[in-house]
Amino acid sequence: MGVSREASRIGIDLSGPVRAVLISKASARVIASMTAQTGFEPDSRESLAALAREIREFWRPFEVRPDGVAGLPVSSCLLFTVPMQPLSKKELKQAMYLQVERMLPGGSSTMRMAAKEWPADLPVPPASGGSQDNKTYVVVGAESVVVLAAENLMKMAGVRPVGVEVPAIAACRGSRWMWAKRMDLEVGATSEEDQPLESGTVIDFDPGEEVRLNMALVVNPSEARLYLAFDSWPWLRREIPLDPDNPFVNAQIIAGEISRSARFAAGSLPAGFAAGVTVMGAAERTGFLADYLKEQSGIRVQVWGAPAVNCSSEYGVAAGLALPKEGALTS
Amino acid sequence: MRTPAGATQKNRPYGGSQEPDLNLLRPDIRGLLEEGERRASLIRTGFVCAALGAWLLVGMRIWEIGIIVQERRPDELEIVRLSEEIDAVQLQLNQVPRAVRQAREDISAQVNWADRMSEIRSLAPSGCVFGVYSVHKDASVQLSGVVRDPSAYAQVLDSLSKTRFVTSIKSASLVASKLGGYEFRISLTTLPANSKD
Repeated sequence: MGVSREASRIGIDLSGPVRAVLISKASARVIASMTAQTGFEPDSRESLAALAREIREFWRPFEVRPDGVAGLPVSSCLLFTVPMQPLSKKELKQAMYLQVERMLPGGSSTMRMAAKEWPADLPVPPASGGSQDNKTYVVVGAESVVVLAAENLMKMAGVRPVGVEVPAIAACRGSRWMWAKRMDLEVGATSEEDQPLESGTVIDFDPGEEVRLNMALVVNPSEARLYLAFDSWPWLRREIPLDPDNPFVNAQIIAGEISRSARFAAGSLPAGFAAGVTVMGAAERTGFLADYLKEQSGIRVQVWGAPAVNCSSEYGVAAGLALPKEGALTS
Repeated sequence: MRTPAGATQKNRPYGGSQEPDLNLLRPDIRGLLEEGERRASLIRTGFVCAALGAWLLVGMRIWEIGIIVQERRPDELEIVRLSEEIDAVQLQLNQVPRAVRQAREDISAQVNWADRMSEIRSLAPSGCVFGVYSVHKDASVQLSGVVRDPSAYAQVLDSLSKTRFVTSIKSASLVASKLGGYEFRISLTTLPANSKD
């Protein structure tokens, strides 16, 4: 690991175990990655201090103080889209409180939320529905105490906090970035795995075409989380419980879920759009899973990591946190 | 058929939207509890600022008054100095008339020698005539004269000693005159001023 003095950004994935990736801000190159020994416990100051020490020791050899973006544990986060009539800012706030309260009683008191109007040039997510007069908002939320703990952790670790995000954002950003990198690598190339699938598949696509239905699959031994996005705009999170002892069944379950999700999304998309799945996570058989999913679902599947990026698949979310926002995809 | 790889945002079917900025460090909506704490914190900060402002205002006012007093002080000191000078001059002015008054008092208190000498002359019995006399500043008098016989001289001495303005007879001499009779000289002291007459 060579010592680099370039300006960098560190992505810290706080879901267990805590993983961090240091990325060059100029070239979006992965400089280093690490898995912390200490877990993220927002209520324990000692634990936060120990974790901060680990993160500080991680970036210190590179000398330049990095910017930091933390990704919160999934258990404390919300992601949803909601159609609303045109409302004032105050009315929108009240409506969001009611919406969160409906989904999570008591949540309006304890959760921070960020809401953005869904862009007009993207298809409206099928889950949000509503009439044409309505605007669709994508909303993310997380427990305030967890957000503040993540911010404090970055400060204690000597990192300049610039963002705290839900994992869906980071996973979809990482997936999108990976597809763009892959597309660059595929210029003029032809390979077996990139051949168009046979007819009858749920979604037709061209291997060189840019992926619009962007699916990020984060796999752990006991659970998989599937994030659905159009471009980098996430709109749905699905949690799929897994059996740690039965990877083949798990793969079948996940493949089924991906096919259903793709069909669900297809209702909002015009014909001929491209879809892709990026597999991330610590599962030992991500390669097998990717091959199986590709075969079963007929959708392009890639595993986070080489050759596009020098970083293994379990760091996908952490790297996604540190990657620049869309607009610098080609770097 | 492969689409030209390396497609950019320009040829995306949906135009390529910017990624949403859903950063919870700068949330659009805070939880009600956090909002309440934030509002309470803002109110506290507001009160602290108001108190600080009031304290600064009062402090500035006091400072301003201090400066004004400091600026005024030389004038006041000048006034005091001039007053003292005026008092001194006034004192001097008051002293001149007093000296004059004293002088006048001295003049008025001076012995009326004409009356005294008339009275002394009236004491002369028959056979006695007073001659030249002299008076001094200390109110002492020297008389001279001639008497026909010494008894008249004694009579003059007695009369003088009984006169109200004569305090003592310091010396007296009687000398036989070549022309007949006796010449006498008497030195006596009198009251120095009329007021004590």
